[in-house]
Amino acid sequence: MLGLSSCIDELRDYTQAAGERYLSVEASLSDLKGPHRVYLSFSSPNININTESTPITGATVFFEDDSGKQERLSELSGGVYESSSTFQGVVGRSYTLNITLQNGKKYKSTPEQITASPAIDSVYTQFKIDTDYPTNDARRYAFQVFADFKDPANPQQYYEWKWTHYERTLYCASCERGYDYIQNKCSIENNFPLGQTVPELINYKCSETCFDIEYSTLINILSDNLLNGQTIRGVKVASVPYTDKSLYYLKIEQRAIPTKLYQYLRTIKNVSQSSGTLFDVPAETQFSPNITSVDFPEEKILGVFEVFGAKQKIVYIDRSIGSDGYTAIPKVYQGRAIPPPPGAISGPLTPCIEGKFRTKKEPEAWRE
Amino acid sequence: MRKIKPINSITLPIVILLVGILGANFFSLGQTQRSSNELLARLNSSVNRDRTFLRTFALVGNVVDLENQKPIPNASVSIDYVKSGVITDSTGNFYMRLTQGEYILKISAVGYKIFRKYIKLDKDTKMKIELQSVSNMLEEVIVSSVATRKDIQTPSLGVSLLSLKGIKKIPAMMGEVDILRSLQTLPGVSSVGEGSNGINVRGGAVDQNLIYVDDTPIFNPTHLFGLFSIFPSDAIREVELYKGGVPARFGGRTASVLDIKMSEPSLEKGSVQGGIGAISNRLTFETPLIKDKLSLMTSARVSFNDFWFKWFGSPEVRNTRANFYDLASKVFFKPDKKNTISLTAYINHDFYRVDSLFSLENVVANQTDFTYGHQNLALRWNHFFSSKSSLEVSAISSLYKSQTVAPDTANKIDLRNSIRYYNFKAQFSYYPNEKHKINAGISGIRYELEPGILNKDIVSNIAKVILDKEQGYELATYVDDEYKLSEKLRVQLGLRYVQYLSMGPAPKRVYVAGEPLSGETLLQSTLTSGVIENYGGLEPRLTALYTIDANSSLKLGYNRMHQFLQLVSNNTTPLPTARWKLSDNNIKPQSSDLVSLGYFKNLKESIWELSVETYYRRTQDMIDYISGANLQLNPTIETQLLNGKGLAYGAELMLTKKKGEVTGSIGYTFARSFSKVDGQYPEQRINKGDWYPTNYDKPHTLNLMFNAQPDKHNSFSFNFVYSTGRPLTAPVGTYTLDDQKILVYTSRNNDRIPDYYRLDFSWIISNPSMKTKRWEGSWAFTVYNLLGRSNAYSVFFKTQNDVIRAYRLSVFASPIVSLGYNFKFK
Repeated sequence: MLGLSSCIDELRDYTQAAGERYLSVEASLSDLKGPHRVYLSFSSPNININTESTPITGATVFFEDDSGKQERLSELSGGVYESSSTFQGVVGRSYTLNITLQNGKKYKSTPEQITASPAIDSVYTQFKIDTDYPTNDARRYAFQVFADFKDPANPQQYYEWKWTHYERTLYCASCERGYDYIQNKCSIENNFPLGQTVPELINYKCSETCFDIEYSTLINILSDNLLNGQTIRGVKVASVPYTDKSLYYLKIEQRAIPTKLYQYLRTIKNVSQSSGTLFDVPAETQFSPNITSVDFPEEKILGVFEVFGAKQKIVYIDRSIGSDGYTAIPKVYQGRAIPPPPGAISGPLTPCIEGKFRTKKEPEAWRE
Repeated sequence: MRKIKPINSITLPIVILLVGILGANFFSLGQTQRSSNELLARLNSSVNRDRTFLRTFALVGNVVDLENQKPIPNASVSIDYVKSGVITDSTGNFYMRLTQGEYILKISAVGYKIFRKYIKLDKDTKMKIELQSVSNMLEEVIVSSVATRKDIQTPSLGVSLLSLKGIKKIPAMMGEVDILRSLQTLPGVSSVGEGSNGINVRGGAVDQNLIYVDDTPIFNPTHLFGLFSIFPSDAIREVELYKGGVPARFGGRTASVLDIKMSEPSLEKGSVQGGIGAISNRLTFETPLIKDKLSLMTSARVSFNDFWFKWFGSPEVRNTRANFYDLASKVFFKPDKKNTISLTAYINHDFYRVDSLFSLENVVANQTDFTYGHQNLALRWNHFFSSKSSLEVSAISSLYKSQTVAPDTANKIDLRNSIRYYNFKAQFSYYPNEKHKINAGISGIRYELEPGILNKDIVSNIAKVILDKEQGYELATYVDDEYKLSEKLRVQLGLRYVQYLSMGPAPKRVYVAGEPLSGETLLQSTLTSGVIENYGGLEPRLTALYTIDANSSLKLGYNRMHQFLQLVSNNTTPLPTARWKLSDNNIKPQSSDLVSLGYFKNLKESIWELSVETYYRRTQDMIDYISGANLQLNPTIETQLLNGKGLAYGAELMLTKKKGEVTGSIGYTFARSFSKVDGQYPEQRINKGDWYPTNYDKPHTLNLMFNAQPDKHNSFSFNFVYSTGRPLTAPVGTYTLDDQKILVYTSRNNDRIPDYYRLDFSWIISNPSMKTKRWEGSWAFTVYNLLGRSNAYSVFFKTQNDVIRAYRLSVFASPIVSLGYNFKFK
């Protein structure tokens, strides 16, 4: 009955009741190869779209293991601190995170131990049609990706799954007024390439090998409390869109996470994935379960020092299996590409700019 | 943005049209009992008639009082709703000449019910008109405080009595007569929103209400996750709500008592009644089995809702199934004049299937079936020793169980929990003279709880988990005396002593004293049989009535109550599958003290009634939840709970017009409700240990109710409610985790959802054929949320593509129209 007459709409005139700002730490360390990163910032006191967290620069950050060995992190860019690429955690060892801000304030985590993650035994897919969406809606079709693994006999194991997807970048830039090759971004003033005369969205192909990177965004966790010691089957780890029939590169990471982290992520999940139903639990932010201020233990800190063992598995999802008879829904690109002028082999090109979501480096186990 | 198309978007214009027609006709027609076509035709003819060619006739009337037949002077006479200027003389007579034709004659006099009649004037006509005095009319009011019932002498305070006849006049959502919704028209009674699982009385939580149906306890008063209340309206005689001034015979909950009494089947003659509605169909029959000795009543209500989802639902809800039924039956045996025995059985059941709603330790189900319901039985024997003394002995049992099943995954889930309740009680009443009314009694309750059984006897990847059973005894003895000290002062003095025993076999867990309860502070857990812990306490009850004069009185009340069984749920409204928890060595029983003061006045020969009540309540040892509490199947649930305090206060004003063609009430409530959780350690505090508003803290509420009965066949009702929006926990900022913006929430209930208001309308046409027959039918046409306001049930925040937006969920976002048919066969 509820479903029939209820409705959800945006509350446009909502004004925030109060604003607060906290130190926010996003740190992770695993038994995978480095670099391992720590992001330091002050949280934004405003839920408005335009206000972001403020990065904290100039801090001293290092990991220390239970034998006293330290790994100092260097600042990569504003608020991002990175270990060496050779540094990697060791299963069974405990690590602490140490932070000293420029103003001298010190923060320290509790020691967190790395537990080995079991390997992913198998990965399989199931083509699923969601008839709730029209036939031209990309959400209608998906390859659901499931994993099986063996849960070790010891109880109180907690898992988290992440995935990374790589694909060849089709367009390295999309600009309205031309591309600025000195600044390596879209031009602000009119600087039209050959074949463009008025401001319009033009897509530029890449001048070099380039890959787009996509990451999982949902929190996907599981406790073995009710499943202990079994082969755990059918954990949904990803959902792959049916954009064409090509192989789809997926790097699945299975993490064995500590209890504290599981509980922390569970509350984050409750907060961020609430749906306004009648049975929502109260939204409550859990402050850091393992990072505290050395001098003011009552200070509330956002974020967590994630320490985990991980196993990765790279799979290619064959999107021709199970999808026979259904038309793929390709990705839609706004704008147009300029065809090659007579005699040329391509239109205007732009370079591949290295970043979190794009890389020149060919991903591990890549095949065309 | 997800928007589900409301079913009635098409029907809405039709409804407005209908309401328009009705509105126009209601005020111009005296007799809506004829078919509306006929009426319209007549209206037209009366407009078009040409009087100039017609003869004139005399109309002579004599207006008298219906009861004493005395003439009524100065009554005003109107013809076709236009004042004629003619008034009756001192002998009650009037005279006028009119052209031949059809008229609507209306006669009104101060203090009398308006008289209307359709007349056809084709000869000189003389008629006698009897007007009914309003003060002699029966009270037509929906709600009355017992204080001003005929037996005004009882000193009870904060008590409301609802007759089912009255409740049936309140516009009912989707035509379902709903006791909980009707109660919310009373000052001091509210809920967190539509579709909430229970009511909040004077700032109390839903589990602080003691709800009885014929003495059997109700643990979940709603069907379909809070949409409809479970009480079978046709089987119920009356509903009594004690917001304060709780008599000593009741105990076990700290906020209120809702005592619902089923009708006694008639020993003389049988009858059948029933109804057909959009949501459910009802059938009730009562019949004497042995005349004047033994009789039986059975009442059933069954829903058939699936087609709504299949036909009108959006794809997301098309697989939803929602069904319920309730069945109430009562056998009444009167072997002789001194004894009566009755047996009540009451069963209700809900089945609800949704595509996905449920997850257990993050194992998500694709489809979930919820079933839950009560199975209640009560056997009662009344013995009358004399007109002055009597004994009532009752044996009661109740079983409430809920089950959550996810059938279609490799990871099958079958989660059950249940409460078993057994009660034996006896009460002796002794009324030695008109100065004393003494009641004394004993009561023993045994509770058996199975708080969680997962996958017992089921093959599944998911483990079998069986939480420890909980058991307890609640033993009480009480006495109260309604004592008339003088003509002006009466008191009801009561004292109840209650002893609670937490029983084994169950593990008794002992934690480090003073430390937060957790796995790390657990000292020992020992399997204990026998008594694990016991708590006891005295519960004084007092109400005093001071009569100021014949029409006004002042009342004072105080009561203390304990509660040993609490609902463990941190949802905005508890799920029907939520777990109950008995007090034990780690969870103390709640206790509450309420003081109230009231002023009552009758105006204009008791046609109007004014009441002002104020109250102040403190509650100790309420449970609250740690940040991010994990309540699901938790074997050491006490580690997730915190000990808190409650504070509630308010003032309730109500003005009621109880008699006349138009009756109704205006109620205004100012009410606040707060909690405080302030432990020694930071994790034992909520909102830094300060008082914070509860989920149901709604400071201002205004209720208007209006009922007009122009004649025996039509009843029009409007119901309007306004209230402050309930508290909301709103974000105070954001931070980033894995490139996702995460909202920061630091203080509970720091904001409010938008204010709420709603207008409902109903039109009940009884016995449309107007003929007196054994079969009496009636139509009930109802529009719920006539203004179509999208009242927010909740406001929540979501991050999508790095943009945070506030969304509003409305449960009834458009007017809900329904038509139902009810019948009675005698």
